Amino acid sequence: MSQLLARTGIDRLPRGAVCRMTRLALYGVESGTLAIPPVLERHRDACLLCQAATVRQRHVMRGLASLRQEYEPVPYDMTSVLDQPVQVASDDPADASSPRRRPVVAVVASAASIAAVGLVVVAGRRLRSQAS
Amino acid sequence: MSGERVEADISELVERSRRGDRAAFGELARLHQHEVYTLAVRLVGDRTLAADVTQEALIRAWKAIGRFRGDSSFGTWLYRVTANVAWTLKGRAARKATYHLDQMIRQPHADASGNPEVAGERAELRAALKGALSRLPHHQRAIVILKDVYGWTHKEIADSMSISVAASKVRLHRAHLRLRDLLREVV
Repeated sequence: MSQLLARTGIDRLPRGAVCRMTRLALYGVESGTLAIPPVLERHRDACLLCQAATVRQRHVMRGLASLRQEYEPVPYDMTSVLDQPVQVASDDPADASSPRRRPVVAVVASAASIAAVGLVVVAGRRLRSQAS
Repeated sequence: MSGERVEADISELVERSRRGDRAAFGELARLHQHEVYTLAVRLVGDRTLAADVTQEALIRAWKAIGRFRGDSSFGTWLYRVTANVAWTLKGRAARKATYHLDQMIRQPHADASGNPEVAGERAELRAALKGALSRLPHHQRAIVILKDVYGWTHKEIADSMSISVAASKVRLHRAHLRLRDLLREVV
């Protein structure tokens, strides 16, 4: 974005367009997708509208963070399940981490079983040919 | 009871749990179950499914507590387990999400300003945020909740959701833009 702005020249752009770019960049900074280009940073420091947008954005971010303080009470005691001898698929929490991991594991397992069958067949043929 | 005292008690409970003390883990689970359930509700958008997620997460945490190294706090680790279980069960569930974030209750100490006007404004903002969040697509809402509400890093989110860090950032960026549009008249 910096190079684009450097080539175009921010002064030649309509003010509204620069404001829109600045606010877009501000959200990009917040989400970690980009760093605000210095030229837009300078515009923000000089533009009251963009400064107001920055304040509003920080307000929203603080509001989101404050949601952490809220909780929903459990409808019943969830810990009672710990008293029962329950079997789970795996005791490794990482196993549940990847929704894509299961199909991959299934494919690998299938390939391994096919290879094993193949080895048995080949070994059987060799034994038969040696015997004959 | 002071915060430090609570932390010390939790550390002791974690240590006992790691040694196989089921009662100690039960106490830990009792202390964290509301937070775990809240995260589950926010992630899966369905209270019934969230209860299943909570219970499954507690079972998995109990089974895996021996491998908890203490790199993060127990709560953070438990959140990670909960999120992982949430993706698994959410994937299995065919039901539609019926939950609305504006049904969440608010803790009394959420407004520590002491100023009723400020407290009122914050409550209004939170209500607007919950409404806006509930209108985000699930994959965007989950990232906003984990990043902006719970403070996860993009790496943690990416690992948990099996996406790239770049995808996590892009989804969050899109979610922020959508939130901005949804909140345009409120904030």
